Amino acid sequence: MMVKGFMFGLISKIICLFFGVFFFCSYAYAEKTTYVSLTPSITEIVYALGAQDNLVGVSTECNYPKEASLKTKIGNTFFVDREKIIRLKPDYVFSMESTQYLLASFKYSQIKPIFFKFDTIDDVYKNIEYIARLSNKTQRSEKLISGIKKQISESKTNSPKKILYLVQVNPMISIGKKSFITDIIQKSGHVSVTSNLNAYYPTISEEFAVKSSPDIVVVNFFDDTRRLGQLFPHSEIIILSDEERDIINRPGPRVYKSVQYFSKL
Amino acid sequence: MRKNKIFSIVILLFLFLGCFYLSVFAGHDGFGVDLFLKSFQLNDRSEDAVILELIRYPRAIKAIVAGVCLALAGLFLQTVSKNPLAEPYITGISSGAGLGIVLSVLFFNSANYSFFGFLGAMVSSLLVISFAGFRKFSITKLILVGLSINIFVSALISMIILMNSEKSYSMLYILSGNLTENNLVSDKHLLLIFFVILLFSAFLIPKLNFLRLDEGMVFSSVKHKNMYSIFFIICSALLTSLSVLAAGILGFIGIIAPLISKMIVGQDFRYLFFVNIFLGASLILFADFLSRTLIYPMQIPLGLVVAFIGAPVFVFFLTKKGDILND
Repeated sequence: MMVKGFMFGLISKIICLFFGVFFFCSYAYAEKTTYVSLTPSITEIVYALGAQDNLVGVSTECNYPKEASLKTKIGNTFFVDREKIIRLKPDYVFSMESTQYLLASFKYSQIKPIFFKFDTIDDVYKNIEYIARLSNKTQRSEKLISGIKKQISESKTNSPKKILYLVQVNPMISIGKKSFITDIIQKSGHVSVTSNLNAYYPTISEEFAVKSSPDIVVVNFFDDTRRLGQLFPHSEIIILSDEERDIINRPGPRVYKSVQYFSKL
Repeated sequence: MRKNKIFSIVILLFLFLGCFYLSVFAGHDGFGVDLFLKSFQLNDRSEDAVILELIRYPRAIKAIVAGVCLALAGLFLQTVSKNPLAEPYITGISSGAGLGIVLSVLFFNSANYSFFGFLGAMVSSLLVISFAGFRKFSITKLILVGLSINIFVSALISMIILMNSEKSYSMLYILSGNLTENNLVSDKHLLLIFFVILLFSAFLIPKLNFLRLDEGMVFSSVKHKNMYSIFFIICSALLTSLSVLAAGILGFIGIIAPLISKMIVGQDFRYLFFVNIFLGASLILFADFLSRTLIYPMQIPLGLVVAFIGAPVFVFFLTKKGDILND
């Protein structure tokens, strides 16, 4: 009985070793997974993970970090150059959920489209983990995520204010419950006055905006502040610069910077 | 008969006043008349005063301007072309305005997009009218040239929207028609231009009554018939451009307001003119009231609400009194 047990253990160890060597070899000699990104925030995540060698194509809007704009361009949110993607032979196409109809034709090819959801900051962590798993950068992703979490938890303001965030002024388009910017404002300790609206980017009536009497009005795109000053005589009005706009509108690894931006208001 | 017609003008005047009341004082936050009186004191900076002075009054004024202009422009064009399907945007105005709006949003992130829409509307309509010719003018040529320009420029607009994905949402929203603010033409100037054109049009009522007659009779009774046609078309282009300045591109009102008023008072322009402008203004004022209260605190684009209430009202009148239009 003793011998039999010993033999069984030995055989199982040999089998394990054999499979281990096999998997190691297949890992070492396998071609690395490649992908293209159609969204600036995903491009930023790939660069933050140090997996930029796997990235073979980007969208025309990807401009951070600067090296990203040197990669092959394959289109924007509406126009995707499908032929170019097929020539680049990536394993995956990364895109936002809202662009599923564009990439439907890839369902039947070798190239697999993957759609990401960005509704909260937790979604950002999930997306970082997912991309890290595909590109074998799991350790780095843990470090990255814990760094972001630490920065966000440290930057909570002590004096909560009411913030009205306007994507556009005329007509007034704001952010609703489903937008990740609402989550960012909540994490920064402030209150978004439109956080109860059940939509991504609702068009709100001007009366509601005035009635909600915000302490701070943050404006995304604008070219004239006169009317805003008349509508909100008691509020501070802030217009975002190009860089701030990019940081706040992209749910990527720089998300902690936008939390810091709001917490300093 | 004459009494009936005056009676229907009075009814429509009250309808107009009722819609004006809804648009200014009713809504999610109702206002009393005391605030209306208080709002003339300029130092009042409370929220209610701000809402009344900076949001409700300008909206109501613009709704009236847009409604009256579109209804009148539609009436002129339907009379000149003798075609009930003629609408104010037929001379390439909607696409010209759309192109102006889209370009201004694209290049300037502009809050003044309605002014650029106005410029685009003027340029495109003048272009179409000059293509239709002055000596050898024909209304068929005008409509066909307008149609071609509309199709060409609409394709251009769609192209611009699709190529600029980050601004496409706001472009689409703006194109669906809204009462807008701009800094270049203030409400006072808008009202001034509006009243000048309105007064001018009122003096044209007798000429409109002539144009309604058959070709042969018009030729024997009015000299320069073509000149009058061209004049009315330019006039309607001006009116429509003014409506773009006030409210963006609002379809449908220009067709239904003249037709419904014809069903109410018949073809005599002395009555038709007034019924038409009151009806156009009331429809847009009521649509504005609905657009900002139906899903408060969010807002439905005005152009869509106009379509939602316009189509059923029009079909109702067609089934009741549609045979009047056959005259």
